[in-house]
Amino acid sequence: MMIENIVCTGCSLLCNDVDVEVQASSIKRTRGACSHGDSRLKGFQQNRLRRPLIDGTPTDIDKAIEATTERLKSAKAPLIYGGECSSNRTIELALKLAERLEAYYDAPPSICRVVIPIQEELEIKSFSLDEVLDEADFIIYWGVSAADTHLRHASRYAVMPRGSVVKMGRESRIVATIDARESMTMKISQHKILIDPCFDTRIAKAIADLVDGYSPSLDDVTARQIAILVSDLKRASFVALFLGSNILRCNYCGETVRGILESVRRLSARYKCSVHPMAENVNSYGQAKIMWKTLKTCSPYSFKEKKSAEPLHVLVARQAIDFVLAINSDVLTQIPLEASRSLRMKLACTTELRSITQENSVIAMPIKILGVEAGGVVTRTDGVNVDLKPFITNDEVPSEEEVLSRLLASI
Amino acid sequence: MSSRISPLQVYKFLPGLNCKKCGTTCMGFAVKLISRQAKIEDCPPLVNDPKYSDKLTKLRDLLAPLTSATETLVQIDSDKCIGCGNCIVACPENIILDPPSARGCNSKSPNALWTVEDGKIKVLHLEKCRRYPPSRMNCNVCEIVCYSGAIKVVA
Ligand code: SF4
Ligand code: SF4
Ligand code: SF4
Ligand code: SF4
Repeated sequence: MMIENIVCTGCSLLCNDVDVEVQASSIKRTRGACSHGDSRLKGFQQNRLRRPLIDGTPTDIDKAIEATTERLKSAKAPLIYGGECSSNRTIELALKLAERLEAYYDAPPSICRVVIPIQEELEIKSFSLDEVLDEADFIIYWGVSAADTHLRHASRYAVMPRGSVVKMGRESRIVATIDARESMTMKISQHKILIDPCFDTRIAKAIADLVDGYSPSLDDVTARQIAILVSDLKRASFVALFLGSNILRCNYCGETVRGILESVRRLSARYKCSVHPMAENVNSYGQAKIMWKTLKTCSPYSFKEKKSAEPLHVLVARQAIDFVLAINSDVLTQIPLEASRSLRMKLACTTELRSITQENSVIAMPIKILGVEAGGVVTRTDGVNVDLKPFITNDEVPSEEEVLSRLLASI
Repeated sequence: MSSRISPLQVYKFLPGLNCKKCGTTCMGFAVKLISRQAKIEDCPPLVNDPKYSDKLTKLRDLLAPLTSATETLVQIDSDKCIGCGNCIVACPENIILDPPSARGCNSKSPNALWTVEDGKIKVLHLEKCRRYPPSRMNCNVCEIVCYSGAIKVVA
């Protein structure tokens, strides 16, 4: 059976024009999804865990929830981790659970967690991807290779399509890619600016300075490239800036993003400006946004001390955590191998697919595949909420929202 | 970068006599060879005079990809394709055949020039490409926008 216009959950772009052919609870064919989306949609049946496990032995979900409750209750310093691949409701439940347990809460680092707090503080507005499609005539990919992470970003919204204002599509838009390394996205960019790592703030300031009529202090080559970019920018009216994970490689990424956004604030006196963080995971934006709304921080958080906590690898290294509940998130890949050994067998997880974390968990709870078997709201890279509708029935495993609700009720 | 063969490249391997035995000048003949409106054999000095034999061999090598190309001279290597959809949305002909793709949607009409299926490009009607006779337009937009180098316009 062909099901039309489902939302692809292969990345945070959440393309809503994908068709799938479903046969016996599996997706056999996709139409419109890029290769990432196609792998996500077709691959889950082969890679999933089918039964809950306690100490590697199959069990039922009631027993797994009960065992998790016991472990969480008896832990002195538990950590609830994840949310980037879960629905907004699951993230809210995870935060409530962490609060009730006086636990730590954290999730993988993401560009959203860096951008959203600074964007809110500097009161920089954003526009939706649909507005970008219709109106944006100057596109900047900064520290992001959309061609590698959000494969349809350029074709679906930002570069190729013809909008109500940018009527000629790519011929009506100028594209600039600014990054510390070369990428496939540069192929569709008129301006390709390779910068030294952590040099982003100076480049952003130089752009804003030139627009305002001052001359920047940069080396000759970069200064010339920036001058050419600004001469194009001066003719634009809507600048859409996409910030990506390559910026996180800089140790001072917070300062870098602040520097870039301060320049954007200066530019917004002249142009309509929009800023979107482009994290890869399907709901990194929702994770960061809900964390910010609830805690007024996107840093790791201790509910016991009611303040920001140390980074995960530090907490793990000094053995400050005695039990982890991973929310469909591969926490063990986020810490050095040596340190991660101390966490093995002190883990419980909800999980869509098999993972290193799941293999090392005392309790593993398989869940419905979000956007395929389970519904829920997630947030796109532009902050727009997208309602996912399930289109395959699976009564064998619960949804993640259900697992989290039951855990919360029993604690 | 474009992989297209330019008239100047072809011209270098022609006799350069401008004798018009082919019906046009050497440069005009070069253009015709690329658009496959003429064959190498249409230039008598080149094929008959042994002093041009070196040029003749080189010209045959240069034009060899044209014979292996599809009728439109657009080659697609679907192994390289990542399914980004850039070609579908940017192709000026496809958006006429399938209007929603002008606004970034994947083409769904059976009349579309191409679509993305199973994460890869799938050609439906390459004969509608603007390079195809009779229009023979000099378009190579799909090649320019293809991230992965899966599309090559060979002439
Ligand atoms: S770009 Fe992302 S959401 Fe769109 S089809 Fe590809 S993986 Fe799916
Ligand atoms: S016949 Fe050959 S040499 Fe004479 S004009 Fe044509 S291409 Fe040139
Ligand atoms: S050459 Fe032009 S018309 Fe032909 S397929 Fe490519 S973009 Fe479309
Ligand atoms: S532009 Fe290239 S990589 Fe993208 S869908 Fe077309 S052929 Fe594939």
